[in-house]
Amino acid sequence: MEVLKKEACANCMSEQKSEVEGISRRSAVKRGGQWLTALVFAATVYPLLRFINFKLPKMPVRIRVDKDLKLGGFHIDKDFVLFLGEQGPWAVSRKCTHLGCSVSFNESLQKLVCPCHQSSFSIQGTRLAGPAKKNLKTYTVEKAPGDQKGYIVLV
Amino acid sequence: MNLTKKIISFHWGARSFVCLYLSVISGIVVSLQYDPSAPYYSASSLDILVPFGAFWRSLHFYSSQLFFLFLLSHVIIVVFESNFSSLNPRRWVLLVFSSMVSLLLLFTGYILRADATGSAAGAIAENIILSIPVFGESINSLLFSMADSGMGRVYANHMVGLLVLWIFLSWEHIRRYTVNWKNHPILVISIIVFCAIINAPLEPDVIGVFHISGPWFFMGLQEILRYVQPFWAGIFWPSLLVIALILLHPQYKQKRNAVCFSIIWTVIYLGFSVAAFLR
Repeated sequence: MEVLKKEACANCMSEQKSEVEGISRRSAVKRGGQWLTALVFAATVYPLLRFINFKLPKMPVRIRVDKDLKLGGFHIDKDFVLFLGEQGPWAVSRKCTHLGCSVSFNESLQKLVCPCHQSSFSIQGTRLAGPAKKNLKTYTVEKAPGDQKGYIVLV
Repeated sequence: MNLTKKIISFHWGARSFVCLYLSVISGIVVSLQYDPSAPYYSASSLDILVPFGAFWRSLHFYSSQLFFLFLLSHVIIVVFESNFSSLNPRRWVLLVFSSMVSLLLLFTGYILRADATGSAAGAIAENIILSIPVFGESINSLLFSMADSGMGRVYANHMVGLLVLWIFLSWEHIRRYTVNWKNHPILVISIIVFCAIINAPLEPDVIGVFHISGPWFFMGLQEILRYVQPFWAGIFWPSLLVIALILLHPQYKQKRNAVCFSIIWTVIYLGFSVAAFLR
């Protein structure tokens, strides 16, 4: 009886041992599967980031302003303000260097003012006051070729 | 029933959901005539040229605003009553993030108008995201990237990306509560009648404007940005509120501090909002 009990116990223990080994194998396979899934996921993140971060180079845009300015005059476009001084024409970007809002030209004060946080710039684009820290970008301006009126601004 | 009990039992969550139904339906209708390659032209044409365009745009605008306002009220009531019985901390965190996504949905709707407010708001948001070190460019590429890609990504996020994300974050919550719009006839009819009479706002980008006010929920931020750098004003400061909201769950020991902080944060933000409004 005792021998039978011992045998039963030994069988029981070997079954338990197999079961434990089985569970260990299963959990190892499961963990391996989880690592593989994580690896595959990580492998797709890099191409995704490269894809969405890619910026197509912008084509330089030549914007035509079809009128001649008087000395001291100005023309306001969507992306720039064009001025004509004694040194010739120049254009200043309307994109505020603080947070990107479009600046407006205050003719009476001869300043460019941002409507979002009231940063102000000179007509040459130099930062004067407000939370913006950098000057406005300037663009090259060419006189229209030949006898044509106006200017070409390279944006 | 006293006033406090009436306010608490107003079913803010259900009403928020009904407004979301209206917003989604009207948004789909509006999208049929909206062209992201000519955003302001599309938005203004809806009001002026497209038959009943003004009505559909108005319905979309006001139902979206009400969705968010009712949602805010719902959150405040839940916190006030400490009614977290069916919300474990994990679900609560997901819901806090879903509220942030709701705000983003509302905000991208403003940007898509591409009027004076929308354009300025979009430019500011893009620059705030770009101020995040290391990951700023990637997050901007995912969410906005208006300077390089126009309205394309904002439109994709508004129509699909953010909505899917919102559903994913709030699914465990919303699937437990069935909301039937037929149970709220006065609300639905009131919104429809209101929108048939009142147009949604649209501010033309007039040259010579020296002051622009942002969306009402970001006026405080607009004011803070005068004095504080974009990262601290636009990322760090709002993150503090998100963390405090997460810690409002009763299972966290910092609940009382989180409540105090949230109230102080809100009062400060309202103060800045009032200052911005008075400019």
